[in-house]
Amino acid sequence: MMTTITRRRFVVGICLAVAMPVLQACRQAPPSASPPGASTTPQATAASGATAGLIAPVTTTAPVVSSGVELQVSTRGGTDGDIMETSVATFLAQTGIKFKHVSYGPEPDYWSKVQALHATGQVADVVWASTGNLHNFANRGILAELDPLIAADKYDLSDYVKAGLDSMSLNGKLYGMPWGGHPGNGGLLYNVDLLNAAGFKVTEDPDSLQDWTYETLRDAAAKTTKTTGGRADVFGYSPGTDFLSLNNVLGAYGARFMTPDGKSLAMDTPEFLNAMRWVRDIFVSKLSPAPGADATATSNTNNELFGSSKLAMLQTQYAGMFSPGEKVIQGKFKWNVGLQPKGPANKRGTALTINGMTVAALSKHKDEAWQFVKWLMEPENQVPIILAGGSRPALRTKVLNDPRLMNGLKAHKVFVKAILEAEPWQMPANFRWPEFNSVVSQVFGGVWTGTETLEQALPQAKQKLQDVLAKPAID
Amino acid sequence: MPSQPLTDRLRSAPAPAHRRAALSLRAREELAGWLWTSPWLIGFFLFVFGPMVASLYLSFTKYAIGSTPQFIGLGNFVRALSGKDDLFWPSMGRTVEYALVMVPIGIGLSLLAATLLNQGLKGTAVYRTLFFLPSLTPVVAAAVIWRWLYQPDFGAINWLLWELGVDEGPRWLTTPGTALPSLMLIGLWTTVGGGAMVIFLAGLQSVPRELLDAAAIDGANAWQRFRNVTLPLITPTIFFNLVIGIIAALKVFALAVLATQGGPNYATWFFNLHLYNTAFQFFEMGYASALAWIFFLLVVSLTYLNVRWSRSWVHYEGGERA
Repeated sequence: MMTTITRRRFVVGICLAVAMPVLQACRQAPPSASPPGASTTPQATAASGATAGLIAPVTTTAPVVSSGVELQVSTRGGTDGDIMETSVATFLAQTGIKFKHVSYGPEPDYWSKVQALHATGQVADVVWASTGNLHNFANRGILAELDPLIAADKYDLSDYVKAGLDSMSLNGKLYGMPWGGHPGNGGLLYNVDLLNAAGFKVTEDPDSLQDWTYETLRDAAAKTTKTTGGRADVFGYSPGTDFLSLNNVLGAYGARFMTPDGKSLAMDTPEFLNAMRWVRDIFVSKLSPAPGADATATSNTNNELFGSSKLAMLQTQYAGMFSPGEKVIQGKFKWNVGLQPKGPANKRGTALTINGMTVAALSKHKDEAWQFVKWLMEPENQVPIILAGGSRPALRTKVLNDPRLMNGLKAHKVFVKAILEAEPWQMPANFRWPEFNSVVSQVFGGVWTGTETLEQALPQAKQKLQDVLAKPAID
Repeated sequence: MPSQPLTDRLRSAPAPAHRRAALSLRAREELAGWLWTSPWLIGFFLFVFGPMVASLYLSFTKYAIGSTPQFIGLGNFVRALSGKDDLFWPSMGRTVEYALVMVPIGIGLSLLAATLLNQGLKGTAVYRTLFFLPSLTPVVAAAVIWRWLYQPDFGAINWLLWELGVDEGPRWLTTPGTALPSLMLIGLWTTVGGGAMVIFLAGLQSVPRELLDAAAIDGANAWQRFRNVTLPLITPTIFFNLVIGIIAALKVFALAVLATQGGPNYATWFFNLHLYNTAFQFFEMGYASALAWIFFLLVVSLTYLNVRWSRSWVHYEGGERA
């Protein structure tokens, strides 16, 4: 009998074959996944360790024979990925545990890949997660609670900056270790020569800006701005217009975007208006280059302008010590990074911003994953990376006060002061920080370019931001 | 024993037992056809059609990757179309506005460039290459270059304007009023001399020379020859470029991400940027799937209307219609 494969049969067969796994992939993670907030008990981790053939929990000081386990460590690639690649051999030699670095690519796609791989049970054992999405992922059960692992290991957290641990916690449970932290966009990259020429007695010591106020900063911006025939030759100061940059100015004025519980807006205060007007004034008075598409002040354009002495000061962060950096500046002028000044509230605006290292809830090797995270937090493993410009410091005093950083980096000491005084990360109660930040970066666009007053923009801004806060948490 | 000649050996060899083929010739040919096309078909069904089916299902759910999809019926579509999502209609309108400007100007300039290059002048190959070069520029490079050109304070364009006596040039990408036209200009720079121009050139070169000569002998001037001979004969090419151009313009995404990130104040927040951010920044995959299907239906509808409309103005050789 002749067997005919009709087109219809063929297509239906392929459809069924494809649709089943696709729909399956859209289902919830396997039941073995820890539910949101569920803890991994020491017994459970011991059991999983036994299953994996573990000999004993390892420490960084007592190498053990390889268990045969190979961890996966995910990052967004780039510098973070480079760091991991160079750590493989050292970690193996010191702990007997192999790990393989996997790059999920840059943000924001990184976050989608973590979720997709979690959903299919393939996510890495150690997951890089910054404060922007860590709480969201912890809330959804993607990340493992670290407290049981820490308790089982008798690991001492007393050396850590409390606000740093708070920033990595949700409902009192710790989900990540503060691997690389900074106090938000609170740095001030400055050109010593241009400021001196404008009559400001600053030096390469960032403490020489210690007594600056926002009036001083505005005055310095005005006096360093130079024009010829109506065209600027040099601009004085470039502030950022994203959430973190604005939050720095707002904090110094005693204002903030949202209430500490992240449930409602806190924008109806004179302090908020004054802080925002200060930023607007910098732009509309043309003391700053026009704001670019990248709302952070540390855009490539601004870095290039600073590197070519066309911009005297730039709102930056810890990374401002390295970018544009001496490689670009090449001794053409003296420079350093200080802190944005204290404002009328007699404080600096801060929000600890942290690249965390977490353990995936689905990891079958949580003990080893924890050993890796713990290893990363050790000064010996971290300081060389920071000195090379590859990371921000871990938020623990052993790293922060390390003499190699204090003596080897131009501005580390002033950032340590700010980190130790910094407030925790600010997060909407529904964990929709990326959306909140996106709205902040958009709705004030006309304010900075002078086509709108702050009063004109505020109703729409508040409505949109309130809409974000009113949404349910992502689940 | 002397060796037997090969032909004799072959003749004396026992004939192979006749085995009846399991499949008929037709079935075997059909199977071979399916097997040869199966790499593409499997890829299509696995990576295009499968995800499309999944996204259709997800568009009726509330879903973030990794969670259990919750069926909410038409909720996502209602949210979009009713205006509850206050960026939906503005981003759709902005995208249509972009397409309305880009498509006619893009097609017109591409046709103009192709016509000029079809004159057989000296150095045509060089001009053709020069016109084509911008379309080869990766969109990332184009965005970076144009961001510097547009930079209001140090950019080349405002410097030129300043030299011409304009004290303060436009702030191009940084004010809501000028950002969209500025992006359109970049879009035109990258597309006018590209694929559309090459296709027009091919279309123009297929116009029979004898028809143009006959028209010239009858006294038609250059414009009349172009209007009454060339243009009708290249209507299938125009139609093709129109359909492709509309789809390409509606898909605008990368340029906005790289040059303006949708700003300032949502002035360049196109539909696909809204879709992308909803899915990958804000993690509302169910709603983003609904947005994708709305967009898909829009493109399909426009293409269908185009095809219908083309019957009244596209002329095929031999009188065939689209």
